[in-house]
This record gives sequence, C-alpha cells and structure tokens, in this order.
Amino acid sequence: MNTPAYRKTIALLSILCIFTSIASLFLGETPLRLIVTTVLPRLQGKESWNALIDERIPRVIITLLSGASLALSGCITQSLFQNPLASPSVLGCSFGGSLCVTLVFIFNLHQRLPFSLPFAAFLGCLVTLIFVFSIAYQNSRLHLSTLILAGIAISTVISSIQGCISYMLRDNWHLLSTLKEWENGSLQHLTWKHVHMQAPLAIAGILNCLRYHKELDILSLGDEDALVLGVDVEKTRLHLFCSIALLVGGTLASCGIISFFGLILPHILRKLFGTSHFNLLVANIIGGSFALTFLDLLLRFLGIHIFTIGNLSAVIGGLFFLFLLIKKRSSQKRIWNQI
Amino acid sequence: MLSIFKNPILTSSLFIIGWWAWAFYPSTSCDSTVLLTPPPQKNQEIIHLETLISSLNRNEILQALCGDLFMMKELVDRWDLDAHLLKRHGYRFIQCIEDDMRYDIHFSLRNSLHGHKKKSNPSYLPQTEVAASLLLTLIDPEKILAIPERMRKLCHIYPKHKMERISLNTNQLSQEKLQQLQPKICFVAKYSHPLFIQKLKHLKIPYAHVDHIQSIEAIQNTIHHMGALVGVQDRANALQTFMKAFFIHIENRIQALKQGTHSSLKNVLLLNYYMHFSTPSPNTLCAQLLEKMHIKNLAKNLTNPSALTQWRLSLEKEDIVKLNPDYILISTPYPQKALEHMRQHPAFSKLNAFRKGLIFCLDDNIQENPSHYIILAYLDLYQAVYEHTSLSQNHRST
Repeated sequence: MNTPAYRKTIALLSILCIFTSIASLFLGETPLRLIVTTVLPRLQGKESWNALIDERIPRVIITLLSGASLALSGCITQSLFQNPLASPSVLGCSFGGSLCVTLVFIFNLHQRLPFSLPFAAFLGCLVTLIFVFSIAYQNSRLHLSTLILAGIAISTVISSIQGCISYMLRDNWHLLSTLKEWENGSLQHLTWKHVHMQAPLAIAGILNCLRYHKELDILSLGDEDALVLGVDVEKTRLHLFCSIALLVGGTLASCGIISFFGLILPHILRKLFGTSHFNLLVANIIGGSFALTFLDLLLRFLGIHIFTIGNLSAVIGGLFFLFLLIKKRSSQKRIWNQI
Repeated sequence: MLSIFKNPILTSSLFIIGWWAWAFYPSTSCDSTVLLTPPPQKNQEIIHLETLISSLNRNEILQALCGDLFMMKELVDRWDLDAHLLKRHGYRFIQCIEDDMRYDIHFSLRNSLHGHKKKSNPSYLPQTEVAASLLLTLIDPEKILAIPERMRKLCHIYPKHKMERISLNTNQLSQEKLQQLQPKICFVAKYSHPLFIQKLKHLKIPYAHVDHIQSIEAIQNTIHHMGALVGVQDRANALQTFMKAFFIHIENRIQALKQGTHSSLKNVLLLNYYMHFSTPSPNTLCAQLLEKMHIKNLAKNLTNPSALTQWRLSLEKEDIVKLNPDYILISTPYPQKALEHMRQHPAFSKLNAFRKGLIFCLDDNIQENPSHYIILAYLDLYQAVYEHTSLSQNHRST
C-alpha cells in the first residue's frame, strides 16, 4: 500500500539519485567549458569524442543500472529463500558468474565476441543458483540452513578453481593483474560498449521482477498456500532465478564483483517499507541506484584510488552480515532462555 | 505471434539478442577506426649526428649484456671515441669515458683469457629472474643449477645457448633435489616464502638476499654484491662500467641533439597497456629512466597521494586527453592491440602524438626488467623519443 511516508521516501531517494548522478557527470579531468562547447558538435557528428557523452554518461548509466540490479537481485533472493541473510554473493551466484567470465578473459573471447562476457556471466550465475537451490530443496521443502551452507560451499569450490587457474597462469602477470582488478569490482574505463552489454540484461531483469511482484507476495505465505492460490510455484521461481541471473550477470560483465551490496540495502528497506513487494522492489531499484552512485561519487571526490567500490562494499557488507548473524544468534538464545 | 510475448523468458531473450545484434553487429558502412599517422622521418640533426659518430647497434649491446667482454670493450672504446669526436666538433657538455672505467673492462678481459682455473666447481641457485639473468652474464651456465621457467620464453633477451645448458627450472626443485645438488649459494628474494628459507637452513645451504630493485643504483649494487659472492668481482666491475659507459654515451647523444632543434622540452607520456591504459608511477624504474632523458614526464602531473605506494596509476581517456602528450610510449605485450585500441577510440585522435604519428610501442619484458637489461629499456626509450624508431617489437621471440 502506498502510504504518504512511503511516497515521501521514494521521492526523496529519487531526488538524491538524480542529484548524485548529475554531480557525477561534473566530476572529471576535462574542464566544463570545453565539454559544453563540444557537446553539440559531438551530437551532430562533427566531433568524434566528447568527455560527457562518451565517458561520463556511460559511467553514470552503468552505476545506476548496477546499483538497481544488485539491490533488486538481493531483495528477490531474500524473498524467494525467505531468509534475510540470503543474497546473490552468499549463495555463490557472483562466484559462478565470475568463473565463467575468468574463462572468457583467459581465452580472449571478449575481443572477438563482445557479448560473450555478459552471456558467460549470466550463464554462470544461473547454473550456480539452480545448483544451490537443488541441494537445499528436498522433500518439497526448502532447508534454509542447508541453503546458506550450500552457497558457501559452492563459493569455496569455485574460489579454489579460480585459485588453480591463477596459479597455472602465474607467469602471465598482466592477465592476473586484470583478473584481480575485475574481481575487486571497479567502475573505471566504462564506455558505451559496457552499457550495451549490461543494459538489456538489467532492463529485462528489472521488468521481469516487477512483473512477478504479486506472486512474490503470495510465495511469502509458503509453497503450499501459493499453489492453492493458483501460483505456478516452480515456473515463477525459475523465471525469478533467471531474472536474478540477468541482473547479477549484467553487473558482473561491466563492473566485476561487487559483493554484499544486495544484502544490506534490501534488508534495511524491508524494515522501512514492510513486505509489500511492489513497494519494496521500486524502493530497491531507486535506493540501490542512489547508494552505488553515491559511493562511487564519494570515492572519486575524495580521490581514493587505493581500493575500489567492490572492496568497500565487501567490507561494509561483510561486517553487516556478521552483525546479522550475531543478532540472530542472540535472539535465538533469548528464545531458548525463555523456554 | 503475440503469444510469444506472453512468455517472459522468450520475450527477454528476443529483447537481449536484438539489442546485442544492433549494438555489436559490425557495420561496414561506418568505420570508426582512425588511421594512425606513420612516424616522421629522422630529422637533419639525427642524420648529421649519425655521420659523425657510431650508430647504436642493439644486437651488439645485447651481446655485451649477455657477458661478452670483447664486445663490452669494443663498445666502450667506440663510445669514448664518439665523445672525443663530438667535443672536437664543438658540442658542449660532452663527457668522455674515464680511463679508470676502461681499465676495469681491460682487466676483466685479461683475467678471463689468462684466468686461474679453480679445481672446485661450485654451483649456484638463483630463485629470481634478476639473480638468474645476472648469473648468466657473470659466470658459466654449468655453474647455474636452475633458472625460472619464464626466462626460457624470452630468448630475444636472454642468451638461448646458455639457457639450454641449464636443464632444471626453479619450480622443479624439491627438498630432496636441493639436498642432492647442494648449491654453494642460493640467491633468494626478500619476499621468499619463509618455509623455503627454513628448508635452506635445514639443508645447511648458504643463502643471500637479492635486494628489491627500485633504482639504477640498486641494480649496480646488486651486480657488485653478487659478483663478490660468486668470486667474479672483475667481471661484475666490467658490467657495472659498461652500464655507466652506456648511460654516459646516451647522455652525450642527447646533449648533442639538444644543441639543435631538439632543444625544446618534449612532453612524453609512458603508458602500460593490457586491456586498458595505465602509467608507471614515479616509484618505478621506467619513470627514473625518463627523468634521465631530459624530457617532461607528463605522468607527474597526475600525482596523487596513492601514487607513492602504487606501481601503476590507472588512466581514464579523459586524463590522457587532458595531458595531450607530444610522444606516447606504450609498454605492452600486445603492441598491435594497443595501437588498435588507440585507433578505435576517437578520443585519442585529438592527441598531438596521434596527429604527428609519435606513438611507439615498447617491449614490456624489457621495460619492466629490473636487472642490467635496463640498458635495453633505456635504449628503446631514447630511440623512440629522439630517433623516432621503435625496434623492440621486432626482436620478440615467436
């Protein structure tokens, strides 16, 4: 239900998102005067390059899409698995996609086939999600503890495979350096090519997720109740898995791994806006876009180059994950003591 | 037909494939690549200089660096003669090679010809590429137990005939093998795994740390240190002298050219390229070499606090366009890809270097080699900036 508080918050988030995006467009080495004078010739085709159109706008678009994708995928994951600790990173989704992307880099496929990168990322994410789900879903029930463990186990296996690959390629410093940069998630060197890689995946993923908002509300009652109410649970779940894979895969292809971003924000927004999925999904889209754009703007404004946005997200998200675990443990302990 | 769009997976797939087909399908009507201007011909100053003094022969320099004392002597004598010729023709600030320096090489050559044959045949184990490359120059390959595997792929730098006489690679040495081989000294890096050092202590194998190379002086010190440890101090002195003589000779050439139309300060940007561009920070050897060349290293304008700790500073296209260098030197393992990247991005077509055809690709295996082969790196930089030639990629092994 759209309460006034919800509408005000969404409006505020939207304004902040627009403000940070515009501020991000102004940040860069090229003087503003030069940019302004060459924008029109660039649009008319008289100039071949303009910093605003060819560098800054693609970067802002990808930051907005990535923020929205990661937050939304986190929200859907938490809803599907009915667990506030679930996120694409915790379930190994990002790692699965990253392994496939690593193979694309190694065999240099992205130079010949630019779409091989997002396609590999999407495929890796989807296969990992389905695998984790199939381990945790037994006897028509989803075992939540098994789910998290399966995600961590799959992530460990994939990380170890990537470790083997890194060791085999240890003499190829340049490739290892590139892989390391990509694994830490970075919003540098983004062009319209990256926008074309990510945008269709992100748009398809976002629209699909919004399409299933009613089914998500019903699925929160449980599988059996959802079946009784006419929801095709298996099909809905599969379509949502595909949507998560599209959203995470698109972000992986353009920015690399930005882990735990899909954990914090959906969790906080769920506490603020309740469990009505349409409101929640919209809030995550706008909130995610704003949060990532703001973090990126902050790092660039302060001139921090020694770590990336992926590092920052991992540290903050990791600490938040620990906090949630400790909080859950204390509340369980309190319940046991009361019993 | 419309029922297709009711299936979200199908609709999404068609949407994504359609977008990618439109975005990535190669367009034959509109070619966004820009032709790279060929580099300008050598100007009159360079041609005149080459008529006065000897030309720089890369193969001869490489031969000397691989340990050929005769070639070292010949080159040093030649460069000394060049210095005297330049002085006679009125060029200022020319340095001659000091007699003491030339005696080091003569002495070493004499010792190698009439050397005392020692009965013992010690063997040495270099853990790093720096130590291995120095040992290959200073001593016989039979005395080297193993070399890093990567060196065998760089036959255009290291002497193939010497490496072939060393059968083992450093990664093949187990504790048992080490015990069997019992090297006299093991040259290890300061960042070696503590377990490996423990292994050496357990086997009572003496080891020596090879310093972390961050300057040309550090290379000289390492040569001196290793030469003393393996008992070839005179050869080490000869190599140090050869390096100093080379730097003096290049300095003389630059001074001679600066007294012509090369007197204005050149704006140079040294880039690294793999999948995107970055530039070496002021900490690196490359940056120090550029300092010696009397040019303006534009990367200094980018200095930010993190540059003090990083080796490379990532560059956006906006940064490169803002710097607008007159010369671009790209250190890369893939010169064709680097040039293709520059051709395909219209941002670079605005650069002075692009318009004048002053973009040169350099072999990164040489540019990033912290050993006495830094001489080749300096040669490549000098030839690109002052003689507008780039020979390094012609010497890659296939």
